[in-house]
Amino acid sequence: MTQGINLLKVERKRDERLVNLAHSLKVGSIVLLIFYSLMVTALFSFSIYLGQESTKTTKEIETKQRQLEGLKKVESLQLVLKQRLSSLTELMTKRGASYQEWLSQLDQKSEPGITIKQITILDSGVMKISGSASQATVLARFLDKLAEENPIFSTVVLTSISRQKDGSYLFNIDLKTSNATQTVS
Amino acid sequence: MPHKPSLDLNKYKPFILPLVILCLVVFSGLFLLKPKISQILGVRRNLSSQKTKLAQLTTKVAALQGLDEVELEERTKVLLGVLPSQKDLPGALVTIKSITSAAGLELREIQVEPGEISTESAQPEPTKKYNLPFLEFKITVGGNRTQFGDFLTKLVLTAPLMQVTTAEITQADGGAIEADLKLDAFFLPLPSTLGAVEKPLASITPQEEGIYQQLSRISPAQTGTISPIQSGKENPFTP
Repeated sequence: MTQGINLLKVERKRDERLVNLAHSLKVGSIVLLIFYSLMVTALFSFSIYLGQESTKTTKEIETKQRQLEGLKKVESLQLVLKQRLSSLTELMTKRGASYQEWLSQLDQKSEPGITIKQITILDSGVMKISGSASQATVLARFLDKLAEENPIFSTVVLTSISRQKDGSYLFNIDLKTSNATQTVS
Repeated sequence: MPHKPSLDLNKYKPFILPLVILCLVVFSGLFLLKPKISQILGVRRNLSSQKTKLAQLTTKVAALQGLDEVELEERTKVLLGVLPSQKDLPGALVTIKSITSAAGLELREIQVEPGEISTESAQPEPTKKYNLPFLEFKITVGGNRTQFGDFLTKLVLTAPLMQVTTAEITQADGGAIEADLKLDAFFLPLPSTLGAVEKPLASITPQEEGIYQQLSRISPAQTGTISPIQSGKENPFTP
C-alpha cells in the first residue's frame, strides 16, 4: 500500500484563514456601516434641530426688538434720567456744606469786640477772613472758638496780626473748611 | 509541460465588500461628515450667542415694561429744569436777577462769557473742576448780611443748578456789605444715541434716587422774562 503525501494541506489552511479573515472583515465592515449610518443620521437630525432652534430664536429676537422699538420713548427717558442723575450725584456728593452754612458758622463763633471787614471764599475751600479785634484776649477767644471741633472748619491759621495805635488788633485768618482741596498756606 | 500557478481572484472576492464600505466611510467622512460637523459647531456657537442676546432683550423689555412712562416724563422734566440741556444764558440771568431781588440785594454788576451758545458747539468739555460743563458768571451784589445769607439759601434751592465758587465779601462800618461772587451755572447736553439694543438698561441706584429727592425740591425762579431793551426807532422810515 502506498501512502501519499498531501502537498495541498498548507494551501488549504491558508485558504481557511483567508475565509475567516474575510468573514470577520465583512461582519466588522457591516457593523461599522451601521454605526456610521446611525451617526450620520444623528448628526443630520441634530443639524436640522439646530436650524429649527436658530430660526425660532431669530424670530423671538425679532419680536423682542419690535417690542423694544415700541418702548423707545421709555428707554430714552430712562437714559436721560440716568445720565443726569449720575452726573449730579457726583457733583452733589463733592459739594459739601454751602457757603451760607460757612457764614452762619462764622457768625456763631464771632465774639463781641470782633469786627470782620472782609471774607474771601476760594473755590479750593479755604475761607480767608480779615478784621479787627478790640483786645488781644478777644482775638484769642475768637481763635479758640474757631478751633473748637465743628462740622465746617477743620484748620484755623492766624496768618498775620498787627497792633494798632488805639490798642486794637488787625488780623488775617485762614480757615480750611471740610470742602477744602488744598492746605492752608 | 510545466504547471504554471495562476492567481485565483475568486479567493479575494469576500474582501471587496469590506473594502468598498471602508472607502465609503472614509470618503464620505472626509467630504460630507467633516464639513457637516464644522457647520453644526458654527450653528451651535451662533445659537448660543443668539440665546444670550434673546435673554438680554427679554430682561430689557421686562425692565422697560415695568417703568411708568408718565412718572419718567415728570422726573425728566424736573431734572431738565435743574440741569438744562444747553447753555441757558437768558434763563440763568433771569434766575440770578430774580434771586437777588427776592433776597433784597442790589445787583450791581454781572459779567458772563457764554462762548458758543448753540447746542452742537456747546458739547461738554472735560473740566478739572467738575464733571459737568458750566457757564461762569461774575456778579457784584450789595446789601446786608441777612440779605446775603438769604441770597445764598435761595441760590441752592432754585433751578437751574448753580454753585458759588469764590466769594469776596467786604463789610463797611455801617454793616452794609458788598460781595463779588463767581457763580457756575451747570448744563449737560442730552445723550445723542440710545446705544446698542441689547445693552442692559441702566437702573437708578438708591443714592441717585436720594439725590433726585433732594433735587425735586428745587423749583425754578418765580419771575418773568428779561424785558427787551428798546433801542433805535420804531419805524426807521419816519423822520
